[in-house]
Amino acid sequence: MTQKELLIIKDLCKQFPGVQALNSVSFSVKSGEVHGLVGANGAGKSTLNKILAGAIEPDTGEIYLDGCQILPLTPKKSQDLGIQVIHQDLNLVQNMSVMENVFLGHEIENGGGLFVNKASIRNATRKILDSLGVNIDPDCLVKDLTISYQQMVAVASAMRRKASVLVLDETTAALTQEECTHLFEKIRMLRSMGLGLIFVSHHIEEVFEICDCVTVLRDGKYMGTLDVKNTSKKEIISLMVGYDIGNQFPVRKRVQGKPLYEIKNLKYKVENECFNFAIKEGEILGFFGLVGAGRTELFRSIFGADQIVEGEIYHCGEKITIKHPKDAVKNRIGFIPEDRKSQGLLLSMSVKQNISLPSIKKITSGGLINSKKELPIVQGFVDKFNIIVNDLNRPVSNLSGGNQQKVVLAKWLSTDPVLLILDQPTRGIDVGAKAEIYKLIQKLSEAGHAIVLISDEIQEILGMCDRIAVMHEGKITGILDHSEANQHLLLELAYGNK
Amino acid sequence: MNNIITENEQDCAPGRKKSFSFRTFFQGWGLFVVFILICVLFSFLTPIFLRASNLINVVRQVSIIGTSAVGMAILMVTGGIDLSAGSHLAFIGLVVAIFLKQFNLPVLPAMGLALCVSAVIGAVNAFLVTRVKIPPLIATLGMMSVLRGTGYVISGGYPIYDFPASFMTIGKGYLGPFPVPALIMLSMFVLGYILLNSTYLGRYFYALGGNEEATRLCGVNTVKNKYLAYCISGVLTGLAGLILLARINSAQPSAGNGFEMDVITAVVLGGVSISGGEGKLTNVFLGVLIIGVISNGLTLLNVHDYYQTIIKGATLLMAVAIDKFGK
Repeated sequence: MTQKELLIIKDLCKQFPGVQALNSVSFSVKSGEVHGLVGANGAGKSTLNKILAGAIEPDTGEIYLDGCQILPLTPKKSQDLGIQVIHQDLNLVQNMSVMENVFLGHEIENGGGLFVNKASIRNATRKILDSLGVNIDPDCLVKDLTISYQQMVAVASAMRRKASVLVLDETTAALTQEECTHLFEKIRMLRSMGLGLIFVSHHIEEVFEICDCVTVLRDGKYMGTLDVKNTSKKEIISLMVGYDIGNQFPVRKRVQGKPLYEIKNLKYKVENECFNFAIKEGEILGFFGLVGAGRTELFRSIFGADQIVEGEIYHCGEKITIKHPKDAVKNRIGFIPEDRKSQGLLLSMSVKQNISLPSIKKITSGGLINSKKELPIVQGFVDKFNIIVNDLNRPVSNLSGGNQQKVVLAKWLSTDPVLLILDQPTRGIDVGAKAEIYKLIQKLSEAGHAIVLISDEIQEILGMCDRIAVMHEGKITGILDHSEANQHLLLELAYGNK
Repeated sequence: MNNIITENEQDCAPGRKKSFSFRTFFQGWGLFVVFILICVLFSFLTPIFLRASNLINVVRQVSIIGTSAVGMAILMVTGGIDLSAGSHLAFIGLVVAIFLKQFNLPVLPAMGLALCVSAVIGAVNAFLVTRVKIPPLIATLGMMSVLRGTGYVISGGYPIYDFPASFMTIGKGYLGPFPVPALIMLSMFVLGYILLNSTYLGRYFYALGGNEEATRLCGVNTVKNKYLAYCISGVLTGLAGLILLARINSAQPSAGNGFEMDVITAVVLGGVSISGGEGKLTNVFLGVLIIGVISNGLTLLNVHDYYQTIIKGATLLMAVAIDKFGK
């Protein structure tokens, strides 16, 4: 079958103040093709998506759809032409039903345009969902659906608007492995329907699983389009980062110290079984499980962000009481939350203010901040963690994901914690920055910090941890030593098969 | 390792070269430029405007709004807001009037007690917001009616007047050429500036408004800090109420109707975000001055009060629009 070129992007350039976000990028997408788009953070993927969605205008360049030049685009024009971008955050109205979301702005009317014809919207929505092979009740509220179903709603909404090019922007970031498999099935189905799909992802493995070819961007420049069959993970990554990253995970000296924190008979929900485990000195204790297994809830309650129902926490054999995060900080526990933007950072505040916030009281005299002390402390962390920033007084929102995560880490280390709970510390950051975060974690554990690493990424868990606890539906189904753990075993436990 | 990150994270280091940008200049100095333009305009339209006596007059006129604006700005930085400020202003006037006239308390204890009452009112607002979890807008809207009504009840609806001369100094007195209320307002701005910019409390306040959950997870007692913000705002509004009473020598249960809107206008003019976490007190001071200068200038030009209200509203809208453009 000869595939026609559906979407041609030619010499696209876009400059933002101080950054050349896109520098003469050209590639084309055929119909019936899944076209991967990869690149480190800041490579220009999101800029490209925004241009396709009509949200921003390129400085120069051309875009052809079915052979016609379509620039300049507006969001409406782009959608009308059949270019549908599904953003990571989905843009759904949480408090409305599935069918209302699917038909938002295009309600089928009756009664002279006064009323919404619910029955026909319901039927039409069901038809679209059926064609996607998804079983969702059109009357269900979007907020009651899991993220993966919400994505299907977004896809359905795109299909309703007529789609010829579908852009999936980091859609797998929030999904479990099982949900990903499900999404990929749907993607294959859309491909067979003749759509051109652009699949943006941080995970190279996924590119190999689903894409036909892959375009690599680096620093806004087009690095090449590779046929997935004839390339390797290594080749893609070296194109992405421009160097050979070698082994992602640092080599660990496995040390088993004495128990530092002990959790005894703890419940974070009434219906839980009791949790009993210890975190040892200098160890990295992994927590693996599917989304919703309760790992975040467990550690939020240990940290005092939520209340525990019952149970005790011991630090070096002494019982401690944690009712509020401030108690946890006092007992030298740090918590890096899974959602860096909504829970970890103060986006409008400066890098300096973010890093010093939890420890600011220590450098005050009579309530006044001693800025002579603040700056060197902050600068110390910035140097130690390699945070790339040229002005500490600039808002932290200007940093890339990897650097932001380092700011969150630095912020916590300024409180001098013994135990650090890291909830998905590498989510949504690029390969190079990930490797750096791994090295940092390694350094911290060598310095004697006990670390709890919560992660959905099985490679990360296997590569980093000394012991791995696996959770399934609110209980620990197993704690494995790193030597006995493997991918298969972890998944079995995570699905509760053992 | 160094070269690695610089290569793939260029997005975080824009603007290496420092070049003059109209936009950055405007973000820093825009409000000041607007203020100067308004002053220049009025000085052409009426020669009296630029006289020292008139300028001092302007500062005296804005001292009540200004004093309260310091508190409101601090509160709004934390993400709160206080719609009960106007009723509070009238209520505290009646309270101190009753302390002075019915209980015959000496001036200083009466004022001190009144400010304590103000702090309690602030604490009640904070209680409603933090413990009962009513959104600030609604909680203080309710308090607005409660306080106004209570004012009518305790006064029986009648004004209370004639106060000791020593009390009147905070409204009418002069220290050299400077009116006492203006000095009070200025010192509150200075204290507020120090609080917001140089203390850890100020840092917490900005953090609270910027991202409450992240701040809580940092081990900051967010509830306690909200109480503080509401109490500070309450006390400053109470202080404004005392100044008002001392200036007009009559405690009116209906005083300060719509006062909170003037205060919020000044604060928003000063660039404090309604959602919190942003804003500088220096700009709030400019916001207060702009409101004062406009109403003073228009009065000098004999513009009718009705039109003045329109112009004030339009100024707010324009200032916010310009601010949006600047971003």
